[in-house]
Amino acid sequence: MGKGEVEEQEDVFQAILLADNFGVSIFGSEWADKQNPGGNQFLDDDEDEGGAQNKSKEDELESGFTQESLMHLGNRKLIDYALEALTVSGVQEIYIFCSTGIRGGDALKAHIKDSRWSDLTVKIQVICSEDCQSLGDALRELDAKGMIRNDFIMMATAVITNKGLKPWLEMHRATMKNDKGAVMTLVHRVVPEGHRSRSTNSRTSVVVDASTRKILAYNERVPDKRIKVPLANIKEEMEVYLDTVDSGIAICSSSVLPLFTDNFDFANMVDFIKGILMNEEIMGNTIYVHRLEKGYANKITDFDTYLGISNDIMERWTYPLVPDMPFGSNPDDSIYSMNLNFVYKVTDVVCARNAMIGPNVIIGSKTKVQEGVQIRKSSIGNNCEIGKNVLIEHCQIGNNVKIGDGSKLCKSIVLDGSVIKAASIVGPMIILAEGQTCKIAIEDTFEKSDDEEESDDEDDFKSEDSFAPEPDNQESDTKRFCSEVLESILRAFTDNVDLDNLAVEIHGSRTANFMYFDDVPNAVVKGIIGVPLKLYPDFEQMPPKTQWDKTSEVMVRFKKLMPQYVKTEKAQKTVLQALEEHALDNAYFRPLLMKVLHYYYDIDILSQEMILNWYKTPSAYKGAAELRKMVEKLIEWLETASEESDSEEDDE
Amino acid sequence: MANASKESQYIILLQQLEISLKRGRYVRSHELATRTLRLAEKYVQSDSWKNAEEVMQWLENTADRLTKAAVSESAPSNVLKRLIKTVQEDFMTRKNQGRMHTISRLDSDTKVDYSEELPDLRSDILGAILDLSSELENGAESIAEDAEKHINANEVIMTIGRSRTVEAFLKRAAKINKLEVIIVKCGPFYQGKDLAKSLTKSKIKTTLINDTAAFSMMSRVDKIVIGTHTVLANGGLKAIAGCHQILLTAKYFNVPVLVLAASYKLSPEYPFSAEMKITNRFVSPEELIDYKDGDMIDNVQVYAPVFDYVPPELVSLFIFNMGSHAPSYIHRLLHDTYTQT
Repeated sequence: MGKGEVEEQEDVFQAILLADNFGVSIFGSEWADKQNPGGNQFLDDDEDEGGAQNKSKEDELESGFTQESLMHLGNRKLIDYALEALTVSGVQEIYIFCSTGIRGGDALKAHIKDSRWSDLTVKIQVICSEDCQSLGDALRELDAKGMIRNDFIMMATAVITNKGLKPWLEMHRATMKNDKGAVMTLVHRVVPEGHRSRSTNSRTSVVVDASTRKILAYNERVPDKRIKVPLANIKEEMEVYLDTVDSGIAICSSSVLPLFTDNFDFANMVDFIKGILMNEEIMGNTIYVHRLEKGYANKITDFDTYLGISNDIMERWTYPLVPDMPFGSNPDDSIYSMNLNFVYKVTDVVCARNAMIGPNVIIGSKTKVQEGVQIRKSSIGNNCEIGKNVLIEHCQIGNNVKIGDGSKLCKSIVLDGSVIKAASIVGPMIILAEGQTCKIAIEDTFEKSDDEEESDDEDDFKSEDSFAPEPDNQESDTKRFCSEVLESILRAFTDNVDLDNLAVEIHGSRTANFMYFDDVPNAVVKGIIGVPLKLYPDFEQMPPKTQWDKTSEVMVRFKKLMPQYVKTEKAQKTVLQALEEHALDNAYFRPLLMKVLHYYYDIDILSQEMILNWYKTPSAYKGAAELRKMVEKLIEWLETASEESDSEEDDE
Repeated sequence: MANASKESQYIILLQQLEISLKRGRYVRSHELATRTLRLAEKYVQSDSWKNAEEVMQWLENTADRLTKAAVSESAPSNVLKRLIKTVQEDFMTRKNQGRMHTISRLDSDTKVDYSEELPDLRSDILGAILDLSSELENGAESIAEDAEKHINANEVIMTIGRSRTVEAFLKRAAKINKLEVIIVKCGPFYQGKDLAKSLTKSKIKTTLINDTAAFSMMSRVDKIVIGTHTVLANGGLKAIAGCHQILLTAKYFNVPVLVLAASYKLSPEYPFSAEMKITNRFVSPEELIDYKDGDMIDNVQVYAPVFDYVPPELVSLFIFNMGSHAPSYIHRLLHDTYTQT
């Protein structure tokens, strides 16, 4: 150890550890939403961006909030696994980035101070920021601070690995010798689909050059088993990885941070990877992937992987990161010993003789387990009391928890200090927070699983994909963004600003308001349509003919702007939705809608198919049906047109 | 000044050793023994102690602490406990210097007061540590020196897995006599392969066999020579997994079993003591089953133990660096090496 340090004096081995995933919780948004009526004690980060984040942040301050990285996994804190992996590899400086503000940061700092990590020669620094809404922001901030000077390791908190990181860093450096533009090596572990430790949502596909393992194409989702590879990247021999998961470990060159700074639209890793791939020819940067077949490296991405990986830990796949190895603990901490069936206990645990414990169970110090208890695939913290005939399956239970007789717990997380009354049923998919008792009927499962699917779909597109009203909390950000875009467009119209400059401006507001690319068409359309309203105070009183002239003037002026944003069917859908919303808000616009649609149809922004689709899809808005009636003429025309074109095709 | 820095030195060494133990990041027990000894040396050199009692107390506490850090490793605590005995003896010889005293006095029931400050004790203990460290360094060689006594010409020797002591022993024996070695590969880690490579380089006739083939090959074998992780107080072994079944086979064919062990591997612990200090180590099952096979790993429990317990009746002879002994003689060695507590 000592020797290594001397060698490394000039070349400090640095790592960035992300303490949370910037508002995307591994426990999902459904949980928090579902539990909200019961109070705010429940965890925590919403998957929604922007407004929702702010809201949940307020909640956190009031409630017994647990920083996600301090959640239990096998009676250890999640972050300990990552810290162990980093420190054992000889990392000398660790920057922990925490985006949940001062409170979360303080909890982290306190944890690190209390645990053995503080005695190590490693420099650990916790950086808290409430302003950072994405990985991109975090890295930009770190770049501004200028603390990272070398190639470094970037790791997500919920990463568990038993491999040394140093060889990977050296491998990356060797790659850099051959390819000066190599900026990052991603570590992907082979975990095939259907594996307990692979998220069902994980459908990543990576196309690599077979000889160099350079990434040629990267898709986070493979929708219909189609994989797109840019033509320029087609190589003689390519490999497609569908059976790997991102282990959350990335070995980065020192140029990664400046790249994030230069490209302020890189919000997350996927943006980064895609951005680098897209501009490979211009910037000459490349990304490599390391396919790991042996050794453990995985990342918890959702509750299923959380449970899956907890089983991997108990079954010792992660050795030496297993419960009975006292890594990361204090000298006076209790020591677990392993028994048959992967049951880990401290010697002072009291278990009734007929309690059925195992497989894959860990029980913390001074916990009492009464008669008739069955525990399977779960962890139970220190000083817990488990009443008679309790059934616990797939649960992670914190310290000082009391569970009343005859309760059943399934697929749930119980945080420190909770009390569960006798004969309660908890779960599945429940988080019980500090001191609060909650009893949830099992029937909820069915509803919940439906909900999950729905929300999964929403996540897929990360934007308002349906015509349902947006959640309130997101409104404020979206509104601000829309009004900024409107201002920009208005100024561009009056001052005759170049369209390219306008695009840059819109881009700026998007990043400033943490909007996704998918949110832009909505704002742009509303902006264009809204210009005359702003320009002429008495616009609504003007005769319809003038209104149309003014509107079409703006539309023509910005007709080249639209194709930049409306490239996909989804974007078309958003445009239609935006137009509909505008019409519902502004009575004057309703008669104009048909003409506007026609115009956009003519300049190929909206396809006939999408307009018809929109027309046929009923909307929840009041007055939407009347609105659809007003455009009937256009629809009829479109339908006949389509018939004609069909018949023409037939004739041919 | 120099002493102050020495003090911090041993604290750092202790922390580093404890951390490696806790993390399971070390290669061999020899490495652990050497590091423990270096730690003890730094402590004895420091100003942190005044008298023998304090040194003994520290050694005992440290032994406990290191055992707690990795229950499956006995080398650090063996080294430290052995030093306790050395300190006791050094103290008595210094104290009784000039006076005529017999060893029988030592064993008498009178309680000895170790708190007396003796000026020359430090150099005595350091001398003892130096002896022990050269013993550690040359342990494998001094055991190998015995090779010619035990291995005759044209014998067929079987060994299991890879032990560096065995490697040196066989190479030494091959210099004098022609011999043939059968190596049991020893899954799932197959260290046997490395040994085979190394022996063939030294031009020793080597056969590598599967664990399952041990029984059928046993009839051809003249002697079994193995290394061990620990020699327990009852003469049993904590050795690499797979040893037990092969030594049972040897018993069936009445093939003599020689166990090579450096002195630091001798542990004062019994295999089934009340505190259950002799524990196995279970590693990742990835060598036994493919992690990719999701259905399988979800439904099957796979254990990958590193050690086997081998009862003393399966061992014919121990060859230590301080001489060869039968398992039944271990109690005497223990008495000479460790204090009775």
